Amino acid sequence: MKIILKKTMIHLVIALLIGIGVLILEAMLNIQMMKTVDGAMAQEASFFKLYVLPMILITLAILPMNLLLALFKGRYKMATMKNLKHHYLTNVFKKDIAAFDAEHSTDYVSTITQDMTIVEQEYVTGRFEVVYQVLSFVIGLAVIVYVSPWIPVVGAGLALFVAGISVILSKPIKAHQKTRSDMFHKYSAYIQSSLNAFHIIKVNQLTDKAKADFHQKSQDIQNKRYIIDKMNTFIFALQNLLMTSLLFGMMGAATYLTIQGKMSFGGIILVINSSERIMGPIQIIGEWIPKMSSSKALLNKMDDQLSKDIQIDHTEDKHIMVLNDSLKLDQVSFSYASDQDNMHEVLSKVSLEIKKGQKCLVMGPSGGGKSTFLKLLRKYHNPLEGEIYIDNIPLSSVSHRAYYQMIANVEQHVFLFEDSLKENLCLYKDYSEIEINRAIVDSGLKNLVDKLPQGLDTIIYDNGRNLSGGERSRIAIARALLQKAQILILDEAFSSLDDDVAKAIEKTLLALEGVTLINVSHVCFDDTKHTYDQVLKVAHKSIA
Amino acid sequence: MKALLMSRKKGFIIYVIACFFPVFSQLITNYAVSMLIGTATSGNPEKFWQTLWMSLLIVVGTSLLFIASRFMRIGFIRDIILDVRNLAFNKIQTLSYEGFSKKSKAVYMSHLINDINLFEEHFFLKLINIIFRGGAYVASLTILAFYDLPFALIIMVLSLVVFFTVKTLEGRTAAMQGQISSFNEKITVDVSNTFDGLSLLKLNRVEDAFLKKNLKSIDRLERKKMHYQVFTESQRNLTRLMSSLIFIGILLYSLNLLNQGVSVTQMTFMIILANGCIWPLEQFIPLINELKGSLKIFDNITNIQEDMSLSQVGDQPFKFEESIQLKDVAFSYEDNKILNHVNLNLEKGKKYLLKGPSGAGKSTLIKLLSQTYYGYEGEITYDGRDLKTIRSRDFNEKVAFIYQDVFLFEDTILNNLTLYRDLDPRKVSEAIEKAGLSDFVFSHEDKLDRILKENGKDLSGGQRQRVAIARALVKDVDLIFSDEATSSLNPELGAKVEETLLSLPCTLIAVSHRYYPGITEKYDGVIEIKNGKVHLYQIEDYFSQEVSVS
Repeated sequence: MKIILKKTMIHLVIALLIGIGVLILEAMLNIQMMKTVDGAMAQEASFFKLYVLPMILITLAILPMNLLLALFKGRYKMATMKNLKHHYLTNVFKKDIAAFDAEHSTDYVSTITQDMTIVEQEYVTGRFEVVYQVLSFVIGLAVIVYVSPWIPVVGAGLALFVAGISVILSKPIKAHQKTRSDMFHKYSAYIQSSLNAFHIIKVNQLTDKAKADFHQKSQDIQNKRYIIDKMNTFIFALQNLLMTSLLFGMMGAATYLTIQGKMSFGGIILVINSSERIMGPIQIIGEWIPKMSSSKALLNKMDDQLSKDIQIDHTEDKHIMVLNDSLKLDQVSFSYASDQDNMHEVLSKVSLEIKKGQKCLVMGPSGGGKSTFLKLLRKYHNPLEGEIYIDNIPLSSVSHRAYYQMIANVEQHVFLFEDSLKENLCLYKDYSEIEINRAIVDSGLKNLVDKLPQGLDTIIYDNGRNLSGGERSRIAIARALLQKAQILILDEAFSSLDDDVAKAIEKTLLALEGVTLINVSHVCFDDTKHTYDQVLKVAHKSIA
Repeated sequence: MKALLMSRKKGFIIYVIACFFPVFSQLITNYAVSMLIGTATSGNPEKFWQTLWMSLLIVVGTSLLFIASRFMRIGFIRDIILDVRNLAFNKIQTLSYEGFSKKSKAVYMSHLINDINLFEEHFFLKLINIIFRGGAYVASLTILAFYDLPFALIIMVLSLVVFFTVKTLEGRTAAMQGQISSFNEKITVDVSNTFDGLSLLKLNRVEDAFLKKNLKSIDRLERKKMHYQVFTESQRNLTRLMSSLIFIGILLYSLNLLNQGVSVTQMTFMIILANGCIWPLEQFIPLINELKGSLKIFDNITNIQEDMSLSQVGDQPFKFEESIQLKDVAFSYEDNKILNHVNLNLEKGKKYLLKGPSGAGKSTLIKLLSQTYYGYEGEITYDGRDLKTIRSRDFNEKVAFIYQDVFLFEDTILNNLTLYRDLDPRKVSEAIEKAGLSDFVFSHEDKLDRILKENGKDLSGGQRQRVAIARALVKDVDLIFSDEATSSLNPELGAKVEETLLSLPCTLIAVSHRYYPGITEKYDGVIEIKNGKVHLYQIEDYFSQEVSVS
């Protein structure tokens, strides 16, 4: 991620150079203001032309410079955020399926929305702000030195003193803040569990007890806050006292120098104006630094998320295009890592063979290992022991892309996206109209297409919220039919269809010649079961 | 909110008074600055030192005033926020379950935590700022008017001009902001949809098309954001220019006063006051909006807007000796038909297993049977008596629930098991034994009197679930509803607990994804829910159908 940030360095530099221009103009304005005051006090002739006019001109010149700064600052942020998001999204897409599934998909979403926003607001903006404030500090200091080198010495001494005190003072507050935030975590956990228990509390008439508990916990939270507030009061008061004294000190120094005749009266105005420009940056930088370092952690987190890929220990150099003979499992075992380094074995030494063109029904209770069997067939994982052979070539050595070209999947959860129904069926590939119509009829989608006013061109909105479960399943089946894949894998594809529809589609699928069909299902129909070439039962870590 | 503030009238009056302290502090500090600068032209070092020491005294004084002001406020804030928390929580607790489940729990969570925190952060901060700025504006203008009436009037007009200029530009900003946030929302939805389907996209080798699509919309968003930023910054620069020019005007006017014999101190004071009057009005509007925003939050979290007709109160006693009958029962949830014309007859004492794909309505059926959801069509009867007419108190006495979520009170184990009822101790130890909790309870020296801290933070998921099971067992009930009761137990213990539940004399209606060989078969029947329809199978028939092949 940090390499990506370097790419937009040039934008940052340009914006900062323009920023220097703005700061210099502002410094000139300050100096001109001092001269104006002195000129007025001396009641000089041609006062307006000598002092006032230049002052107004500089003020006006600051505007276009500032507009330019806003533009280039915006460009810097845009370029940086674009690059960061592109890099992140592209790399998430590059992950293989098993690695992607290892994390909850909401984690990726929250990274690219919430985390990225924080990075933008705190890190990307911070990089500009911190440098800009440093420059502002330097230029402000230079202006004061220009009038009198003594004042900054006084100011710096006082400022160091104030900063030191502030650092010391912030320690106890931080400790209290931490305790309160811990308390808050517990408080949130309590509220969550009491909301989850709403029903239990209601049916057992424990509402009063719950209210009393809540009151007690809330009171503790508010009292803690009160203690922190009390402590903060003294700390803030002291900070205010020091800051205001610092201001008076600087002003006093300037006034004293004026009395001594070492500085003009206008110089005081300049010192007041410039000391804001020196003290402001110190405070602002102090606010940015912690924000930047905490959001840097987010960037690291993103890197971690992207690098968490499953190690590929096989070279995937085989490209098969067709299945000629059979799909074979030879002594295949698979386990998941459960907690405490224990491996939880799901499949143990499974051997079976599915010939090309065979129709195969796979059944078994939930938790029996069906979905793991499917994951292995789809090459999400490679077997830990044993091997899957496709025409006697180990599947682990076949490239993902080549293999995915051979298989089609119909899953229970059907993914739909915002585009026409046609694209949802074709998945952006070209098929002839005849092919599409055929798939629509065979998958039982005809009724739906006819019902829709715009037919195939109807846009599916909102993840297909208006489509029934059955319609969604049929879309998935039509997709698979269109792909004319050699191996068709069905995962509970019929579970949300009516029996009659399911049987009709099943019949079509069973009639597909040369296509190897693997139908994994919870329940089957007694009357169609015999039409399969092979029926496998998955249970107790084995498949038979 | 007004009523709440007035309920602590004395505290509120003190609070408001305290809000005016900073106005005074600011004015006197500014006057001290002016006096100090005023000594510059006097050429008198003695006077300078005198003024400097006096100024420092004033600075110390304002710090003390600051402390006093805060102490007059923070206690009041604490009490009010506590009231708000209680109001919000009580509001939720008075909802019926049906009303409660209309919104997701995340909504209540955010009410009770985020919203209240937001309210705490904003409401009082904005209130004091409004009082302070308003006070400072009025006081400064009054002093200026005392010095120089026409000048004060001009300053007031200028501040109004600045205010209206900013206001006119505001509309455009808000529109742009709205655009960006709706764009942002769309991207979030798009990206999360794409991620949900990424494995499918990869299996079909179309992930590149989607990547491109997503990248394009990201680019569009970033460009929109840039336009917005440039626009708002330009706008800020424009108003800054306006204020710079006004300041120059004030400076020149005041310098001119010097020639008319006004003292340097007064001139400086006038510059500071006038400059301070230009901006407050413009800052006032967002402050008031934010205050209104926090008031809206307050209304939102404390007002009850429930249709009370949902909860029905029956007065018939509960009796369950024979059967539960569902006649033509239908139930929809937000336009989604979940159950459709369900007819079912469940016998007392039998054990039923609820099966069906997730989202099919298993938990819904339990809620309909347990007086939790009333908004169904058709009729549910216990021994022929309409469920809607049965007194809830009686019903809940004879029914137990075992859910996945277990709420633990910060109290003794005994109270957590009995839920504050007086029960036969023998019954309690029996339940502990059967639920597999003996080791957990009796290995500790305090045994049943041991206090569970922080909602049982130290209890494992399995232990919590066993507490839920023991709660059901300890009650002498006719009917147990169980929803994934053994899901977080290890298989051995799960099997044991399931066996216990199946051996009880009462009726059991259970949802479970687990299959325990040799035990699950002990259920009497399977209720399968699929596509809104419900079928009742004998256990043998159901499982022979599922695994008939072997």
